[in-house]
Amino acid sequence: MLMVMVHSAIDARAVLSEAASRDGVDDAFFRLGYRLLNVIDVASGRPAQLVFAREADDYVHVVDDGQLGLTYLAIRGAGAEQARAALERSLPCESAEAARRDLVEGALEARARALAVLVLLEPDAADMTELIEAALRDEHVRMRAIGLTAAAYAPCTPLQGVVVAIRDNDREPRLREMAARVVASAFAGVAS
Amino acid sequence: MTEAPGLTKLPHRPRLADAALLRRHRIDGVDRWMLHDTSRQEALELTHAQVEQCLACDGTRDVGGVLVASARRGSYRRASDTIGFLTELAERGLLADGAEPPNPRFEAPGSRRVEAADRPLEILPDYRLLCSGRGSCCSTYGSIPFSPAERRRADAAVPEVAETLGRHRFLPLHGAEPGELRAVATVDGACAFLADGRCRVHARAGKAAKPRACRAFPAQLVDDGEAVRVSVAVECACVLASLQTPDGSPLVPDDTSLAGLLPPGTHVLALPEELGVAPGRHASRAEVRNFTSRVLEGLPTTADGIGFAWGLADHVERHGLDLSMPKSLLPSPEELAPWLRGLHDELREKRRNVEWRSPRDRSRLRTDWLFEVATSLLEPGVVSATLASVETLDAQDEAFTIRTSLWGYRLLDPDLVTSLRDRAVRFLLARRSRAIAPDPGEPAQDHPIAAVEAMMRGQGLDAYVQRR
Repeated sequence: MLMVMVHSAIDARAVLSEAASRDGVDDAFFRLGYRLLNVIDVASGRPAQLVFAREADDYVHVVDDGQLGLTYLAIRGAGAEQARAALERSLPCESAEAARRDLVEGALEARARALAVLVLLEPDAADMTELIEAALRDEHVRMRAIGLTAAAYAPCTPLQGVVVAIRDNDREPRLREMAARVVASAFAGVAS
Repeated sequence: MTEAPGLTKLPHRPRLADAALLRRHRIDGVDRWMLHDTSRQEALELTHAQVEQCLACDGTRDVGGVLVASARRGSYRRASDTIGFLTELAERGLLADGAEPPNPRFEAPGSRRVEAADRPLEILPDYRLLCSGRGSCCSTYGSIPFSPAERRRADAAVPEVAETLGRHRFLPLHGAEPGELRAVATVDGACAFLADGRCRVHARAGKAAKPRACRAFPAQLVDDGEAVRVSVAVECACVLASLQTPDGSPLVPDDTSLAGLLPPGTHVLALPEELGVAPGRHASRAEVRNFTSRVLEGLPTTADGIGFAWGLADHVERHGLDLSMPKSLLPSPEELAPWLRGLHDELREKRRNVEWRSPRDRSRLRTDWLFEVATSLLEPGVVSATLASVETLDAQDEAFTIRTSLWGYRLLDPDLVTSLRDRAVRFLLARRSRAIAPDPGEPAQDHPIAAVEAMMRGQGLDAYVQRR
């Protein structure tokens, strides 16, 4: 099952770069005065998470997202933007600008990761639907797979037909199954 | 990335095992947190954060829960630090999996409360204990257990201990179990409630306010299936000094004739149905009871304990629990050599393991003293000379030690033959110790057997037997 984050519950996000380590995360949160509040193991439909808190309404989930293949910070609370800025200064993080560059110029894995980063950092960008659709139509299985995951994070009507087409016609059985799950879950409430 | 490495080596719900004794020792005003690994006879020094992590390992949480619990205690820094520490404990065999029901243990493993209230008490004959009140036993042991009520009473009587030591002045008696009994912190090697050689709980609230273990010490009760034998452990000089005086108190109240009349909460060790007589040979406890009774009938009040113990071991090895009276037999220096080498090696290692203790700590002073004594026993001719001469006081102490040990079934671990020979070696060590001066404050200098016995059981020196 795909995990779908509810955007409204998250006030800010940051995506950790591959250079970030678990020790680095612990160190950064310690320096910034956060306390470990919970450790959530990976389970069906739920990625592994660490939950740190500083004030009663100042939470950060460190989400180890196996579907997107990256770790991101989901920040909640009134001071979420300031918290994000502080965490980005303390931890190696991805930027949307670099991701956009990689999406155009990068090798296959870099492109896949770039799309995952963008769907987290700029889910409401004007060209997001276009970027996801391009991935869904990509010749590489890896890009189509990340496109399906991205579509589940940012489902919208224009993408539904492409996802349905993958479900029905893609030559990769794994992608057909994946697309079927996306249609059944993420697009269940999207008008067609 | 949220999962720290090393998790797979850990129990699902880690629990600090019973072999781990978490203890707080305040030395010269500074806290040292030690984890005593009783299976290896080693002491590991911990940070305060690691103590909190150990306490979080109570078997009710998975590793993530341990991290969160540590964070709540203000002791979380890095997951890799905590998991690395827990992995080291697991590799030492000091982490079990899952919670155990609370166990208000006071007894040794395998013991139980006496169930037969009508079991007669057999009290060590012709013996009364006169406690000097100098607190030497209070500075001998690192695990003095307090029940919740005893902790409240002690805190009320001596509030300055709580004021000085604050949180964690009591820690779990074994592992991280949430049982009732907790061990009090030590201050320079002595019970935190001891000051100027006096128990402050006793001084301010009376003897009845002291923990049950302190009130009962050094009496020991053993249910052998026919009776409950009451004896005394020779781990305090008062036990032997009491032989010189008619004063003193009975080991249990005079009007107590049945187990059911013992004070509430009195614990009685249960003798197993089958007991080791010699390596690979066993006997029923009824046979052992008959044998000890017969030997005790023929045991004089003064004896060369080395010859008696070695001769009895030889007799049992050859004839089993034959009821004919054995002859005294002194061991040769060659027969003693492997025992003495093992003892010397054990003491040498122990010396390294007590370096962290206060220079005034009784266990450290005794370790240094007995190491010197054991070293001297390896010199040519010393064993023969020590075997050849026995002072009257030693002969009396040795005979009494055998008497009370037989009465209390304390010569059966790992088996009767081995334990008797071990006693002969202990007597040799004690006799020789008169030639080497201990620390001037040593309370057992007149009765060194008491120091040797306390070190053997209380500080795990008896592990030397495995080194032969």
